Amino acid sequence: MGYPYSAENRLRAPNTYTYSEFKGHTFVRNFGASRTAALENMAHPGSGQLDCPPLTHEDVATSLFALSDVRTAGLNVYPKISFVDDIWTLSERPFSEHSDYQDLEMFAETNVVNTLDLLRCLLEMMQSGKVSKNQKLWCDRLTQRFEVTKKIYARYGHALRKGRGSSEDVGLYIGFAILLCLSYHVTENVKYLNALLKLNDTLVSLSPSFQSCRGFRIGLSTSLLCEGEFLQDLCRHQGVSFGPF
Amino acid sequence: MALSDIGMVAGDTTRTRVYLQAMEQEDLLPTQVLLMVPPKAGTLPGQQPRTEPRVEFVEGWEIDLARPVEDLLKKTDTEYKTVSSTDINSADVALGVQNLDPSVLIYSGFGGGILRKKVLNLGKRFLHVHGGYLPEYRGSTTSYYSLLGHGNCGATSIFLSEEIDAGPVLLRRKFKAPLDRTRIDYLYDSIFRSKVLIETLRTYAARGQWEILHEISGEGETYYIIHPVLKHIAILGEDEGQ
Repeated sequence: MGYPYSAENRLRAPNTYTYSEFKGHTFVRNFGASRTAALENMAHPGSGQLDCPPLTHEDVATSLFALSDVRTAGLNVYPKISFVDDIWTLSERPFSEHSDYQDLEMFAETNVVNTLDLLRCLLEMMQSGKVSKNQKLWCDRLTQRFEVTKKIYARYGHALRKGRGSSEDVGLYIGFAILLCLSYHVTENVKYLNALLKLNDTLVSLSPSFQSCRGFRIGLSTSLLCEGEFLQDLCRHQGVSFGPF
Repeated sequence: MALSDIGMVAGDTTRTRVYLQAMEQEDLLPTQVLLMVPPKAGTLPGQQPRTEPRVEFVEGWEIDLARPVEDLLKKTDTEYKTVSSTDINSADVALGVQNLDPSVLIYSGFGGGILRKKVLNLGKRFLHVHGGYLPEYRGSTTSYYSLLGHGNCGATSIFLSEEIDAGPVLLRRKFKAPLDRTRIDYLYDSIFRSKVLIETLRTYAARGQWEILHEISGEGETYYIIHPVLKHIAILGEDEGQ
């Protein structure tokens, strides 16, 4: 029995996760093995990938150290993720022209929400320490849309009610993964870790197609390492002894 | 004793079996039941395959998860009709609901069924027991989220409204984590809901009216189907926080 949830392209064949069975420690070990293999593949792509130098420790460690520093200090602030600007170069679509992506209110008034603008706005706000009552609202809406469809669309209608355009822009998925990492890190609300696990299942399932893309590799590596750290903490708190992930 | 003015619309699910067996033993059966029956034989998602009869004692009740709902309804002379559908929003079910006499119906349908406006506007009130403590734990698979967050489980009786898990709350209770957490889906979730259902019905029977404990307005957190890894952590977790 392997880990089935990343076994095939999960954008084409989305998981539903309904009525999953309890399969004991074997299941968790299989999950851990799948994630470890994905991390290894991101760090050291196959020998045929000539343009893919291995990731350095610094490529992914900076963000993790930032997370740890904030946690140790007990500060209710978001850490600086060093490669956030690089994420956007992954995306197929440009930012909206003239968009003031630093103002969340803008998204409440428009009938078409550009997802890239929204993600960038949320991440920029979090990292600059700006606090807005609407941050959780928009983060929750994105989480809800992803949980229902297992996809992130290029655009959404008013209040993110209906997805429009492409749902295969991997830059949006990486950006959303980082948003979920930050959201869980600060709030410890399990709903964000839940969505992150599902999102990482999808990203791992796509990873063979993106091994030559350095931004994807750094983004997914960071997301998986954060996920592993979050799960370790949760297990410790629950008195569960399996891992490491 | 049949509860006057209380009926039931249900599928033959684990939850309905536990509800009705608890109601039978507490002498609180509904006056009429509309039983939704799958058009094709087979095991529906979220339901266990048919098993041999086996009575077990849980929370003071004798429960046999293999006992079909129709068997109980016949033996207790409870008036019931069947409708060939698993969809609570289908025209046939709507007609069956409309033809029931009671104005309040206990709802215990098949998994994933969300009552649409058309059904909610049939002139009946639908009494539902949510498997989580509201408004803190709205949404799906909240037993597991509750175990992870607070080390316990919960259940809340509400009248259904258009917004999910947002109806007025009649009664809510927290429960210690079961000793065998692997049986939450197929036993304890139904047991906890039944305990709240029975207490809700007893309160109604004693007072002769429904009393609203809490109106939910945009509070709480909505959760979505739990990821299998988190489900495993919740099941394997220790019983701290009880």
